[in-house]
Amino acid sequence: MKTAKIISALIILTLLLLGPPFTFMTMAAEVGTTELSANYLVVPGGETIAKIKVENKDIKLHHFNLQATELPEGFKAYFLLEGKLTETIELNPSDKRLIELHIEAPLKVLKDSGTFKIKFLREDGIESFMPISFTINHDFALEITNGIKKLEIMNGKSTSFDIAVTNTGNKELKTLGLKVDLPYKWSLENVIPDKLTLKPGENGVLKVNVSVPSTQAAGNFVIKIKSFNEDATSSEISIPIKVIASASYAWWVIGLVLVFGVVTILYFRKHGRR
Amino acid sequence: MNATWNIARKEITDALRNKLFLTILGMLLTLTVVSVVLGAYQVRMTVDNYNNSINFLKSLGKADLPPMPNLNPISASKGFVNYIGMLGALLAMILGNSAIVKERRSGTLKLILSRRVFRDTLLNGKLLGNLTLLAGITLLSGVITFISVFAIGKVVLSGGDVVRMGLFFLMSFLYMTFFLVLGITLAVMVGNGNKALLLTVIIWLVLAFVFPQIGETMDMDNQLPGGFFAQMGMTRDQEHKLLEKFKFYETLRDGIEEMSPTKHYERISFALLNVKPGFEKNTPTEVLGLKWINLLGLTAPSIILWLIAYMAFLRREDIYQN
Repeated sequence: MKTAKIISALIILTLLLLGPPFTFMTMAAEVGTTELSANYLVVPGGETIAKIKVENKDIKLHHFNLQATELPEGFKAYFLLEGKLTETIELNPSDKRLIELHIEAPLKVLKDSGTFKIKFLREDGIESFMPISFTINHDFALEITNGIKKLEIMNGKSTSFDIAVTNTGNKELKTLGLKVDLPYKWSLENVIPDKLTLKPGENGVLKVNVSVPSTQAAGNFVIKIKSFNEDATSSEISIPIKVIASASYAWWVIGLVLVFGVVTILYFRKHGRR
Repeated sequence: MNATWNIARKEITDALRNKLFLTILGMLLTLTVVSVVLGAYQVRMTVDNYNNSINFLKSLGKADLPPMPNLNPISASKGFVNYIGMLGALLAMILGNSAIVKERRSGTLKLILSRRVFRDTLLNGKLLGNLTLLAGITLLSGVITFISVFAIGKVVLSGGDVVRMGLFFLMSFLYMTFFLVLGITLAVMVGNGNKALLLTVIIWLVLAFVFPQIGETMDMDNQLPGGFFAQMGMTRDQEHKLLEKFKFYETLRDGIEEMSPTKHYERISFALLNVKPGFEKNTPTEVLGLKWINLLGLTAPSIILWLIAYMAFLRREDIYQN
């Protein structure tokens, strides 16, 4: 009888110790499921976007730190809130936000499926996890390459370079385009051809024309490019580009110095050295 | 040459007796020491934090250790750019102005020019003396920086970093040279010494603060907090189309910015000190190769002003008046 009482007391004590955090976590931050399913189709070398709803059911404001854990090798994941990269969110009581989880798969994936977890860490240390599973879709896969090691351009001028796109999947990819991320104030003149259609194993070349503003100071910059259509998105490639200053400004300055030099000599000749 | 050097030596002696010059020099050196020491401490703290993390991970038996973070010890001189931009320029202007005005006020200009000293020789001597002073100040600041980074930051600079730092101090010297020459030229051209100094300070304010600010604040994207284009919800294509319509405005804005030696000094210095990203992998000569236009923007105005000073001084007939 006495032993039974001790065991009962221990069970109650254990429940008391373990109980509140779990109850509180459910109350405080309910991590909803994604809009459609927790399983996502991922294209090798591509990017998949999952939407996650995070809700604060607590009566207090909380900060949550988001982290993708146990990611398979080569995979990358990051969060976007209203289009901006984020790692923490602040939620008022009863507030809910929709966060985009971007999953980037490597070009060569050995497994056909996998899982990882999203960790939600509240500022008071309470953690919750959300499992995410994915299946590799070998039907659509896209590879992007460029043979350019480094580009050099003068400010105020235009340059063009070729980007090769290969359909590494099992199905045809239609209306493939490029997403070109340029430095501030640079402009994309055109991409020729604008769209491509590639059969499995086929590759195509797109010519990218960019122009650098004359106001661009000399330096090293990076152009980021990825290929996409409605079925697949390739990984992003970075092309380093060196901008050198146009000599026209220098010629004006040097010319001005020379003019002043000649005028000074003539002035001294006319008036003599004193 | 002997006359030039004698005048230069007298310039140095006079400057070391000038209370205003010594006060500003003291302020500049104090600020340099404070900023460099703080920068060096920052480097040391980063090194200590890294070492502590490594020791902790090793104690846990971890083999996969994080790489050393990029310390960029030469950025300890970042604050120096601002101090040279203000106090360095002020110091140089006072030296330039007093080089001519003091001789005129004391009547010694008449005395010197009555001897067999050409007017251009006098100017050369004044310039040489003051340049020696500025070079000394720059060298002293450089030595303080090197010692602080080594002694406090406990970092041994690589060969490339030493060259980058050396080139940065050379740029600082060239920047101060411009304001020294401006001070001398205006003192020669304007009869009244006080008016000349006032005019020099006004030009400095315009070149060092107004013009660079025009470049920054008149940039279309800086019109709203968080960026004009982002706040208006524009795509990159819309942004480019809009900028295309304001091409002339952009060229004008940039042209005004290019007229500022301060902007040229800032651009080349930040590239050399790795404060501005994108130059980490370049050698010092490659940085100079990329930023040669800024080097030209720092030196050419000084040469032009100096030639103007020669011509103005040659024909001034009221130079003997007290």
